[in-house]
Amino acid sequence: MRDIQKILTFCKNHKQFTVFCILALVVIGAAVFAPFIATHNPYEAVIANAEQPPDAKHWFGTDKLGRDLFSRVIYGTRTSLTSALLLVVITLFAGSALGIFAGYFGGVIDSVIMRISDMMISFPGLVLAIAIAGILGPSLLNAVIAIVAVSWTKYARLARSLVLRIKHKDYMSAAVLTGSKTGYILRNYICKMTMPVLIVTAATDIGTMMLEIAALSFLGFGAQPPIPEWGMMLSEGRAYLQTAPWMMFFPGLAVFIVVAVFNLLGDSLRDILDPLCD
Amino acid sequence: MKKAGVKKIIAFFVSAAICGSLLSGCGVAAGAGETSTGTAEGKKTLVIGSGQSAGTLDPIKAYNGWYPVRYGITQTLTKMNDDYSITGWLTENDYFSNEDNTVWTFTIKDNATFSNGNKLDAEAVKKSLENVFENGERGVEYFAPVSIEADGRKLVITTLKPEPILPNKLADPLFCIIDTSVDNSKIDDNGPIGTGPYVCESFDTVTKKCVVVKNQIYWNGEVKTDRIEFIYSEDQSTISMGLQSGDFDAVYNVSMNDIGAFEKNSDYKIKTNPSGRTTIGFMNQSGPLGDKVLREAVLQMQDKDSYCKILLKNQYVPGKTLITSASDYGYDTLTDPNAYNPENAKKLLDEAGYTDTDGDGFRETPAGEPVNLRFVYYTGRPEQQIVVEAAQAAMAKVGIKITPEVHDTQTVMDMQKTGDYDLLCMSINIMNCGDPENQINTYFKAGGTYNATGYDSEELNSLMDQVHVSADPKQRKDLIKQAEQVLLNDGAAIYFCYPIMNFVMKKHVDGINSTPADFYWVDENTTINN
Repeated sequence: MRDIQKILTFCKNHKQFTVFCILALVVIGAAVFAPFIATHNPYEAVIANAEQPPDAKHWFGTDKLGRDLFSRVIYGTRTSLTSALLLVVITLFAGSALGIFAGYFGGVIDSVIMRISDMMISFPGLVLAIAIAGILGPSLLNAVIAIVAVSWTKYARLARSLVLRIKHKDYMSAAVLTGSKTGYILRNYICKMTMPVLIVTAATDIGTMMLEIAALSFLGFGAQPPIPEWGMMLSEGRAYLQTAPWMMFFPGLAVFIVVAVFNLLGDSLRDILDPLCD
Repeated sequence: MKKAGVKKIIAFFVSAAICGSLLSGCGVAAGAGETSTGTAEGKKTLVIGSGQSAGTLDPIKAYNGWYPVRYGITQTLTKMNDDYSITGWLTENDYFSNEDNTVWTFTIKDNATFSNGNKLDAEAVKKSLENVFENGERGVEYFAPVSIEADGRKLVITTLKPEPILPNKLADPLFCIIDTSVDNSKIDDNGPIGTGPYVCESFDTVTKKCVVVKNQIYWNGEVKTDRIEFIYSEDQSTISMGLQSGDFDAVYNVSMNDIGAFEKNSDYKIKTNPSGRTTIGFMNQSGPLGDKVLREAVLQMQDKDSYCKILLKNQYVPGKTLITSASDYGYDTLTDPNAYNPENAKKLLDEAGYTDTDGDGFRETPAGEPVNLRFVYYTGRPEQQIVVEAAQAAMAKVGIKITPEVHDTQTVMDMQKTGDYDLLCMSINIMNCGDPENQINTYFKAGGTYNATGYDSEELNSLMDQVHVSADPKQRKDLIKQAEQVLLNDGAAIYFCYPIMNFVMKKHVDGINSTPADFYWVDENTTINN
């Protein structure tokens, strides 16, 4: 009872966060319960129904092969959300780990990691991701790998700067003097001190990552037919823009809404968690 | 208080400067409002968009010869007419052969010259033809010359075997006549020196943009346009929208999705023809499709009528035979043993032991190997992506997995040559010489340059050998129909559809051609009337 009261108080004090959290849960719910929400099989092509405008039977209309667009957009939530979250988690952990090692150990490790990082950021991110995805071959997994390969630097640099800030604090020296092992220090001091900021950064990046995945799929480097993915659906609809605009409109709307929700949720989370934020 | 006021003023000016900078980008760029039809310096410039291009302009490599002919740079000895008949182009119409069709004599037109001023005589033609056989790769598939003799304007070609349709074969762009007396080491970029109404000014091997300018000394009359730019993009929307926005004056092969908008608009005119093309799904028998049962199942799952009527918006005719319904080669009389029959396709797979043993929704081979057919295609032709994805969806219904794989046209052509695919979609102009012999040999006969499917039918090979030496048109047609039936019986390939080709242009553009040959785009009469 007291816990519920606590949650209610927290929600009352953080209305913005609560609203966006609920919206994000709705999006996640759409992904989890897609089979119950979708009205048709998203893969089932009924050629006779191709390019039907929205009506009572097909709420968002149908695509070029007669597949129900509403069902594809709902199932697309699974693809887009899963890939974006996977991307954020991998980038967060890979980038943070490298940044923490660079910052804590310094020397050659620092130089090698940070010079590689400098090299990576000297190229425009998406262009480099396109090049990597092009080499790896078009698939959703390869698109995720390509974006991880260009996005980890942000977390590495951030983590390194956070580590450098706390590395020479008194409590760190005390930990070393009392015989704490390196692994213990990294786990209980460095990670604990840096993670809140890194997690907030990751949360605000979910929307951006989602857009990058959609961009690669739009360009043909990500999801491949017949997987329902919003970027790819936008690309498919482009050829029909003048005759069947709903094929672009609804996937575009889905991208817009979900990215906006996660961006605003990330901002709200930062307001609450980030100790460095004013 | 005073400090805060200054800050506000600075903030205001900075904001205003940023907004001003951003808005400046929204202005109309100089000249953006003008159409592409240039009249700069009083010169007529035409811009043509297309989803088709070649890797280089060297006519003897692959099918590159099509482009110098399409761009009006080169010409051939003979020319194919819209009724598939052949007449002289660089040669007079009085060509003839001996009784057994092994010696052909041509008279080169007296007034023909190359664009560099060199006279076109039989010797120059001889050198150009010899270049095809010595340095090219497909020449011998057309005919094997024993000797080519030149004497003034008289050209005598002696062949190893009887060549009853040699004038047809010489109409193929592979045999376009180029000046070999000049340095052709940079022909890939600079293009060949030909006899056509235009001269290649530049060809970008990366963007595939080609610019041609008026041949000032064209042998067959005054050229009406000063400059033509050929812009390449495999993106169908880009091409259509380019025409609507005025960036292009004409566009080759507007997609079925966009053609309706131009039909309704009186500012444009459209030229169409049934064409000799067939959109073919080649099946590589070196992989899982070596099993005839699987090929038959693939074929019997293709609802080509619905593809053409609904997905391709009646801009295509449903395929049945290798050779288009627009010509008389058995479309109405031959029997397709693998016509659309989804129930039977499922039954075939069940009986052959294709079952889903791992529960992933897709069947494995009787030996338990997963089946995942790579379907290679390109987007330079609008029907390809649709038929490939429709085939993928159709095959998924019977539990056969197909993975589409898109590449640019040139890469797909290279893959076709090496056999790096399970299924490959390609649009072939089977009737490009007014006769299908060469293309059948190239794509289906054992040893054909582009036959990497492993298909080798003794019956077909024998029939095509007979076609090669047969002079009687009726007999040729009968033999070719038999060969087509062999291909149908063997389930050699999917004949998806026959496109109705189009060229859409602004109403003031004249002299752009859409022909069954598909490589006579522009000529000396191509012009802009505004």
